[in-house]
Amino acid sequence: MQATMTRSRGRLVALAACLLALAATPPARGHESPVDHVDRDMAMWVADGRLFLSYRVQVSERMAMMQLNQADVNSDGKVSDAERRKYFETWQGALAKLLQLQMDGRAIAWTPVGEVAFDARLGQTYLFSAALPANLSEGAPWRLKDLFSRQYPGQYRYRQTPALAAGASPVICELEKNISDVGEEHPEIVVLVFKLPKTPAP
Amino acid sequence: MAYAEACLATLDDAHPQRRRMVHDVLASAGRVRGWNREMLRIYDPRGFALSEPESGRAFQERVAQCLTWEAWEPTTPDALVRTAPMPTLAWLTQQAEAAQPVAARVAMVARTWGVWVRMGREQQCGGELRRAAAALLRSPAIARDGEAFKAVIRLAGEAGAVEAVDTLASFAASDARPEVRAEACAALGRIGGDKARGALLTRSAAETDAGALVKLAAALEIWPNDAAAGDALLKLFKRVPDPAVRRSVLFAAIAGRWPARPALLLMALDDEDGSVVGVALQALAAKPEPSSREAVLAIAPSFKEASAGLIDALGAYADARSSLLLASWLRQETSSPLLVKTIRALGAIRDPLARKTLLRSLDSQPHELVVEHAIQGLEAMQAKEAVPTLIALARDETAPMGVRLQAVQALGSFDLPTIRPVLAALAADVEHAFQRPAVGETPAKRRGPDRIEQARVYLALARFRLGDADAGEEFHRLFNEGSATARFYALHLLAVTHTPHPAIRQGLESSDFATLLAAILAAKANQPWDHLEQLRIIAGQPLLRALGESGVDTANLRHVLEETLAAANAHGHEGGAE
Repeated sequence: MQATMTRSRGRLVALAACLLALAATPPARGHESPVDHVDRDMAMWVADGRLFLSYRVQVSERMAMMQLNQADVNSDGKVSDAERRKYFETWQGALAKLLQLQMDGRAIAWTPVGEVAFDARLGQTYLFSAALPANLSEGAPWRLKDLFSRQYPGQYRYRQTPALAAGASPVICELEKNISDVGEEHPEIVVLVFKLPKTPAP
Repeated sequence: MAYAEACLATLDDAHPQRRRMVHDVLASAGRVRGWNREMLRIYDPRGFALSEPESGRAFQERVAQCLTWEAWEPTTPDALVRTAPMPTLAWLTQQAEAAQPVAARVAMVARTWGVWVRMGREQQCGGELRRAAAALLRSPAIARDGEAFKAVIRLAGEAGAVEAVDTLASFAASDARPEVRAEACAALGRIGGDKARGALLTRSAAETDAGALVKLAAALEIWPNDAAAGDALLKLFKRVPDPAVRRSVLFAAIAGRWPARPALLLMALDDEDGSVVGVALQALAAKPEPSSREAVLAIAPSFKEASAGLIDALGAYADARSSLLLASWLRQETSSPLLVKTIRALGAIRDPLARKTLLRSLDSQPHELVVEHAIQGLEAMQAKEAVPTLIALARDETAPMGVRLQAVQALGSFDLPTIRPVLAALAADVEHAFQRPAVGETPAKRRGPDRIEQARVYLALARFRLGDADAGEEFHRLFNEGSATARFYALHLLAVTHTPHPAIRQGLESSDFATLLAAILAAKANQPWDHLEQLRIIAGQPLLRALGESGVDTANLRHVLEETLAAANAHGHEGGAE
């Protein structure tokens, strides 16, 4: 099998070397980028006095393998249930901090809910919830800054009308038009602006 | 795969028009069988179960019913390989024993499976596939059908069927069909090993067909350090004047390091065929041979226009006698890739004319990539006379971003009092200094990588290289807080500027592919033996190795890691270890 790789390997090595020996901005020069993109799909709703966020990321095969490699703590080439849970639990906690929820400048913390759900399109769906603060200003804008989208840009979709259980109210969002107004400058960052549904479920 | 399973349930003879749709779905969904098995188990447990011999038996048998259909859909071979490997392998083995195999279908399945293997997607059935390929090769009935036979030979090579080496060697030696001999030689090269090598060496002296010799020469490429392979290729070059054969021999010489290499390349430079000379020049560019230096310099002026191979070879020799010619090409040439090569060649030569030409290019060249390389060349030469222009470029808000950043990077290597305040001023007001798009810059390019983040990283490193410790901290902070792209750039900079920094160690622990790749390259450029322990750990990770063997490692991290580890280990063996 080694032989099939020789010429193509030589050219691939040359490409990798070129990427890093050539100009200042190699990934933007038309070669395939070594930087992974992540597509994301979100929905929010209010139920039982709490705000919920479903955050699904669709990763590349390469990124998924890198994560599993990191999860394989004992380097046996397999990811046990315990290793998988531990890795993705830690990751879910980190993600909760990267999805910055703010109301009137106040930061509201997300709590991870349950375990990540995997799907066959290399999707990982995380669920978070946050307690709604008391004395909410009626109609005050909330913001969700997705700092993970700044780290790994990609396609983005917000589902305005997800399928919900009875009693839950969907949250309608729009993208922040001027991210510099909220102290951000990265052109790919996702910042959502929304107001809570007028009559949130008790 | 659950959807594919549901689709399959709708298949029945009363609705033949559904077959195409179902097979399209199977072929598409079946791609998951090419995933690493752990990944498949976690992300698609149903897909994993359906691909297993026991739990997937009923499903695979149902898919494999199409093996007896009168007509196949275009995606049927893909559907079989991807979703019904076990029954398809059994069918191939039956075909190998059949008096009248369905040769056309064997060919289709063999070609499809060969592509699957070559893409690194066969995660399960490698052993069974090799045995099936070997069995098919022994079938006289298959051998009579030229297309099926070639497809099976190719599959044996792709699958690495060592059990078929003797059979392949006999085909390479004695099959009456030159195209079969050619495929057999290619397959022997893919499989490798001493037996295959011996068969190819023996055949190289006797084969007469040009097509077969092209494949034979290419096959010998996998033994770049084997003196016998080099001798055989030299003899082949002398014996056969066909340009295609000679080019194939010389392509093997690009990576070859045989004792016969210098003589081979010197002979090739004298060839009447320009394409043969072109490949010889490519080989010399990869590794210049002292004995060919004068010949390359002698033939260079005879080229009517710039040639990529010649430019690279002249750069590799870095002989000042070629500066004038290269400078003239720089004035006449309009192709940006050739201009970049010419600039790089002049940068390697570094004589006064090269220096002056690179300096002039900063103002005269319209292509930004060419200017970036000119800056790199001037930095490498430590051409202090370029500093005022570099400062102007770094400050020029209308200049392309790549040029400005390259200028910033270069300024970080000149320890001159004029530079620090310039970099400090730019760093103090990055948002304004780098926000405005360059002339002609498209909105898409403007929105690409984060300009400000990039500029901060470049400025911090340049200042750090000039001794500003606070800038080193800032660089580290930008690395820690930055996007994956920013971390990649940061480590890329540490590699190209040969600047050691703690970020390298952090990068080597990263779970991000680009960060890890750039960290390994940065480690390679900065005393790799200091990172030996980390590199060994990385190399020992089974799932990372699996990624390297799959088709997704398009940046060839595995090879970069091997080279870096070799460099780190070599230092230890030379007694340089701490």
